Amino acid sequence: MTALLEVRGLTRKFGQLTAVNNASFSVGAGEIWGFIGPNGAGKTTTMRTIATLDIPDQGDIFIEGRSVLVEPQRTRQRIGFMPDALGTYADTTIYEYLDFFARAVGLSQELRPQRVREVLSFTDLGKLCDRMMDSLSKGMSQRLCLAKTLLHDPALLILDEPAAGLDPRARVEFRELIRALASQGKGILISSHILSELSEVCDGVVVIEKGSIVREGRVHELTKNISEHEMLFIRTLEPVHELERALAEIPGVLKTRQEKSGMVVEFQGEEDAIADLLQALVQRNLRPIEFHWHKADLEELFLSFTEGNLQ
Amino acid sequence: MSRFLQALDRKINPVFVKEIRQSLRGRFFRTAFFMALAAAWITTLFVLSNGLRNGEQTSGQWFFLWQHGIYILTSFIVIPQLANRGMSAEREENTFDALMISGLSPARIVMGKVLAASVLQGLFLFAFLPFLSLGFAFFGLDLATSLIILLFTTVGGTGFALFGILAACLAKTRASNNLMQGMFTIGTVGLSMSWIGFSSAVIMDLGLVSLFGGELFAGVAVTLLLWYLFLYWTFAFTAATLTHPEENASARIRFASLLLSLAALLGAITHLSFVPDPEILNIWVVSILLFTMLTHIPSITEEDTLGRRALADLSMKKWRRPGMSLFLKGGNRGVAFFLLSLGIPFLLYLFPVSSSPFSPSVGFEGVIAALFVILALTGTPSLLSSRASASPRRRMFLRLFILVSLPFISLISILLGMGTKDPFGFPLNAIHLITSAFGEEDYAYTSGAFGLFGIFALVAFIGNLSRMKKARQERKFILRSLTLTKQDGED
Repeated sequence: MTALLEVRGLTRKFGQLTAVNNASFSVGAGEIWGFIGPNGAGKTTTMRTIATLDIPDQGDIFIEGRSVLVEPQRTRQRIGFMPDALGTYADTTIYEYLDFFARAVGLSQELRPQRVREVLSFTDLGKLCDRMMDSLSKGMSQRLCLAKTLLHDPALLILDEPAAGLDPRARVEFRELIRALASQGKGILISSHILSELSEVCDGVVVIEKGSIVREGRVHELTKNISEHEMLFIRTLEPVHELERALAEIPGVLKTRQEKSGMVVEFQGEEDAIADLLQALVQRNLRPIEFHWHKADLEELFLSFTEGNLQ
Repeated sequence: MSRFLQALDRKINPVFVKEIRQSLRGRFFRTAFFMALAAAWITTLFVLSNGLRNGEQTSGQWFFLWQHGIYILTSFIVIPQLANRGMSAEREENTFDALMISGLSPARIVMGKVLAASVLQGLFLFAFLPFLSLGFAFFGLDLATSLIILLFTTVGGTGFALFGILAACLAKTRASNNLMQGMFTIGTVGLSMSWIGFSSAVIMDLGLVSLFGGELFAGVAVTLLLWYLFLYWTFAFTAATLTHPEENASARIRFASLLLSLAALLGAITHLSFVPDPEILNIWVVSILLFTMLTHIPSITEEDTLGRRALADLSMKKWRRPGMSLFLKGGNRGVAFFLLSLGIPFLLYLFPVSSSPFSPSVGFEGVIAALFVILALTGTPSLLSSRASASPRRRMFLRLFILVSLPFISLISILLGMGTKDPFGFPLNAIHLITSAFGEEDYAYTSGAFGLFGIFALVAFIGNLSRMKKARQERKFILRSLTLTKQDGED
């Protein structure tokens, strides 16, 4: 079966900088895939290339089997791209804005008002349709941007940081909208820094760092590998470097990293071993004052696969 | 009726609707409109009171000049500034990307903005017509001359609006946008002043235009045709700057350049049929050669993918202009353009249009010199840009170089020759080479300029021939792979 989106060997260079290096992944219909990576990892470049706003130096992208390079106009009809910030037109109401883009995508006179009403209703902006664009809040702007993206009923949605700047309630509402869209059979590729948001909605993730895909796959499969490990958080009264030195000598400790004033430890072992670890710390004259553990989640997965380096 | 309205609705450019709506609601347009009207009223009262009191025989001329002056300022400054701001706002307000993937082609986006500018220009004209027509009620105003001047002002205003859009398209950053806006404003103010001066002299009958009857009509028609086609070329260039440098975007520029060259040929024939002067013939020949220079503009990107993209566009019948295939990579365009460069000007020598034919030797050396210069200055960048190792940035530079190469090379030559006895005598001075060859001066030979440009022209021509051969092979391969892809899709 042809994937809805297939990125094949995508490479994009800006002078000496390789923004995306031989990236390959795919997204199926009705699936939500998270696209995660540190700032400057190449997420936006990849998304812009998929949306036909940029041209790769190498590789190709296929939407329902059609190349975006060979048939950009045709593939644009199947893609909805939502950038991280909504551009606003001065002296324009929400309805006029949507009507303009509805005309641009070629909706006829009969279909246009109906479709604009549908997307306004879906994004819960119906009552605000006469409001000027420049008076909208961030949450409303994001909704409007999504409404515009949905006008031509695209099969694939590319959402670049859609939850950035939203308050907690707006984020929850936005998440519900994305779920509703996936249930309609749309494929969704979504980038976000808020990994807890993604972990609740994503079927799969693509992790990118320094332009290269470092991991790609279904969330449960990826987390399965590291979920056999426990993620411990330990804080002691003693300085962190002493704790780090002590942890390095204890068996079962796989990885450590500093977080706040304590250490996060990726640990292999059962509850007995964890108790032994605590005992070993006390024996080394370290006094734990905070300790808890949990299974690895998407955030841990991301941190485990990336080093946080910028290009 | 409803079917007609539906068809009309489909045809209406959405950008046009948006721009008109925004402009009419915007503070800039409304302020400019009311200020212009206020100025027209004040001028009317002032000129009327003075003119009528003095009982001058030329009061109609003065009245028209004042009103027309205000109309020029609105046409050459306000309208182009509106168009410029409309385009640059797309980048500043982050709406550019949304527009680019909205399904509207770059050409349609530019066209929408130009149409909106011309409608706003129409509104100004409509508002000024009562004032302007009042001038005819007084003495001394020639109706035909005034209407022609008014026509040129109106058409010029719309054209400068397109330049405003082009300036905004060329500026990719905020800093370059500010620079472009500044330069553009200075340009429009300068043009306004010049046109006010020229049109005033014409209205006051100072003998600047001595055409009458059929001659006048032909002159106006050819000028308008050339202006229109020059704007069409600019339009093609503007649309090409908006999108990625696709093969078809460059093809549009080349296509428009061809039309411009042909229009210049028509202009030459018309002009020479009224004024059979060898010097005029030479000026036209060089002009046509300069226009054909624009047909050589290379693509910024010559990647296979873009070639495929252009061919796919063609296969989707997005380009239905006759002979369009000729303008794509491997479409024999090199041969076609070389023949065009060579053929069109020489047609004028071979088939004289007036009853008193010229001697073929008059200006022939000048034409050869112009041909050498143009082939060297266009063929060489074209050849360099076709190299696989050429980066898009270098190609962009070469593309722009073609537009400015003639004055640029000549200026460099003068600067290099500043320390010598004859600053114009340096061999790189292309403009001096052409003018001196027409004047049958020996600069062309003694300085070595003839040989220098001749060698470059020859190298560029041979290089482009081999490039064309390679491009033809690539084209066949791409066409075959496109057919295979189509079959795969059907399977």
